[in-house]
Amino acid sequence: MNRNWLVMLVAITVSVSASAQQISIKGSDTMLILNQRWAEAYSKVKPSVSVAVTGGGSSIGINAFINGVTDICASSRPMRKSEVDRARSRGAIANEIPVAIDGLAIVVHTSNPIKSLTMDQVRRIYIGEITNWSQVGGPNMPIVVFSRDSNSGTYGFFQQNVLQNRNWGKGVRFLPSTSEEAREVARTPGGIAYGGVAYFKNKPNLKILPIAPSEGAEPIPPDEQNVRAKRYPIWRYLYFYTNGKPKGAVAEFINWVLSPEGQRIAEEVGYYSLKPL
Amino acid sequence: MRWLGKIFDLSVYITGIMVSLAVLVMFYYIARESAYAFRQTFCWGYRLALLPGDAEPSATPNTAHYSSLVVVNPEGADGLDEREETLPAPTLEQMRSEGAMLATATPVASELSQVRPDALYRDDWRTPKPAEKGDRFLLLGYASPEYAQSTMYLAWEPDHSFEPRLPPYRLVLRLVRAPEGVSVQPFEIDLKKQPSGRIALPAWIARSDAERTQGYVFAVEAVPQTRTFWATLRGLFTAEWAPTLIYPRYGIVPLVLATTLMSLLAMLFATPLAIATAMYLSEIASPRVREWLKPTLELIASVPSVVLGYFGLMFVAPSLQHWLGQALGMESGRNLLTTSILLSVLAIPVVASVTEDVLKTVPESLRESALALGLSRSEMLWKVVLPAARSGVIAAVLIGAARVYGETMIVWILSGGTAVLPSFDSPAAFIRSLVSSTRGIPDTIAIEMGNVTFESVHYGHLFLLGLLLFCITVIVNLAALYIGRRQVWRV
Repeated sequence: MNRNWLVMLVAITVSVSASAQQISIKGSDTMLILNQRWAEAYSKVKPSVSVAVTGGGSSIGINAFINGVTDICASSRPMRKSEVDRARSRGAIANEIPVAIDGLAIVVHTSNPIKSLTMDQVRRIYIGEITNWSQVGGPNMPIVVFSRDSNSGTYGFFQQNVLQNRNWGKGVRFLPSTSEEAREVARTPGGIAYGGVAYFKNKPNLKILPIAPSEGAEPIPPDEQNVRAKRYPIWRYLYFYTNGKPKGAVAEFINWVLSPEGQRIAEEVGYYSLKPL
Repeated sequence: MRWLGKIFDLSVYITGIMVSLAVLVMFYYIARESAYAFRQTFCWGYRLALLPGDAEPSATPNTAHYSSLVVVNPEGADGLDEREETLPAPTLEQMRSEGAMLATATPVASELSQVRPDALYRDDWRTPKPAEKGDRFLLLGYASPEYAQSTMYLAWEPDHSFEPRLPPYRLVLRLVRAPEGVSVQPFEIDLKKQPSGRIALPAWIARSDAERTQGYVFAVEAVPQTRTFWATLRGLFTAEWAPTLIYPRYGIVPLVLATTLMSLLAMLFATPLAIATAMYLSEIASPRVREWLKPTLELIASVPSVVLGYFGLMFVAPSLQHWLGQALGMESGRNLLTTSILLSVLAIPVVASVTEDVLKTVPESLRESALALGLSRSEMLWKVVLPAARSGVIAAVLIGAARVYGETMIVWILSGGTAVLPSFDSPAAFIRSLVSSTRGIPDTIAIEMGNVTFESVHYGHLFLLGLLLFCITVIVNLAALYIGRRQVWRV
């Protein structure tokens, strides 16, 4: 019995000293799950390196980066010029590495004859200025608007990029998951929702709408090529920031993240890989 | 063995004290964390622009051209502060080439002596700066030499979703300096009283780039007025819960009203059914029926509420939508009514079980004398037994209500998640809000606690909501205890 304890103690000590290699990632809450999945998978690929993930938000991650207290800063927005300058004055050179692409699809019921929407129409539907499908060339039917609840990163992304930081309309219904959005729209003829394309593809009674970036422009469906080519308007990069060119364990980790294996995890979590897998 | 008995007594005392202590500690912890709500730094944002003298009266500041936006945003919530454009202020040459006649540059200065027309605040320019200590932003306004009109307007409106009445400071727009040779009445506009508007001014034309600095200087000032504590408290009593906005709003009234309304409605459905069930069980059912009915009831009480919630989502919501959707103008099955129905399913076993226990405590002698006086069985039940057990029944209903008030899962799944104030304008409007999407206190905590920044203002407000929920349920339970103790019958 005593011996066992001793062996375990030794094992713990050894593993602790072996995992002296530690990488810290701090930042975006949107990327929290993705980062955690990467950290878990990487611990199997390379058990000697431990990856510590913390959230808090992109801005908090960037501040940590500027103050030099994190190896990698995860951010769902590009760093601002003022932040880059501030980092430089503290001796940190911001090296921007896109690690995945995030794109959102707009979905309606199949019985809805509407063919496409413009970004501005989507925005006005979600801030409550457009309440009937007839206002966007559809049938006379009230629009039932569904959204993810504020528990999700897509909620924030949608509010910034599509709503342009306006408040949600009075009638918007907030649902706990994207699959529930899919279910509700599938049984509500006047429904509309947004979410990762994977959730809506090949589902009964759902129709993914092509979105026109601006009035009069050609509507673009959110397929992989269009999102990767940035033709589809509702997309963003997810970034890692490192101080200068990554070195040593951090470089190995980021290379693994960008490898097909790491990128496949990004696809599993619901984002797009940078290149076709 | 008397000492054993003493030890037993002592352990009961200690357990009692420990449990009370645990409740107190819980209360203390929730209260302490909710203090973060009061560390609010209020941010403000205003759009100002110069408009030509022939502009439509309804024209609002358009920031696409060289107009300005002044924003003070200390929080910079994740991702909500996206783009930044640091533009040099336009030279007259630039204004000409873009066809712009009027411009306001915003020098990053609070003193007149520091005014340099080299910075321009644009629509999406947001800078972190605490506004609590007071703030002053100066704007420089001028027209290009091509401007042919004799007047121009200074127009102002709050930035998207900014509510000027919420912050604890006085927001004032004033004329600091008029250009030389221009006679104009000095003005000072209280932005809380007049959130948007415009004011006519004699046009001032800059003939050279150097002359731009001699234009009008306007100031937007935030002068501390009340304490943050009171402003936060006042903010709670507003009708909008929108914590993710750039200018977050923490009005808890819609949440409290929704939870109260759905609990009341649920108890309205549950109480008659539960009392009838309890009376049937205790007074009418044969022992054999009782033998399986009572455990069944208790089994329903033990169904996890998440299961009830999904049952409601898959079965009750679509059928309500199918049968009553047209009649009530229901757009989706996820609404207050469906939530209340499922909450009543949760409450019925609780209330029925306690009521049945209470009915059993009514002395047999009361029933016997009632029957001996010639009352029928139903008269005996309604006029003697139920009134005798009155206080216990009320206590049972209150216990059920407390259970329903704090229920999270069912509400999360079925309410629809829209924090809006129910309408009390007319009966029809009230019914409409009963069948529309809503959001209560417990589900708001559950949804938002997951991704709130630790120890932030939003975090504090969620704990504040928790504190409120805790207090309400404790008060309702204590009321149940107090009422339940009173005996109404005299034998």
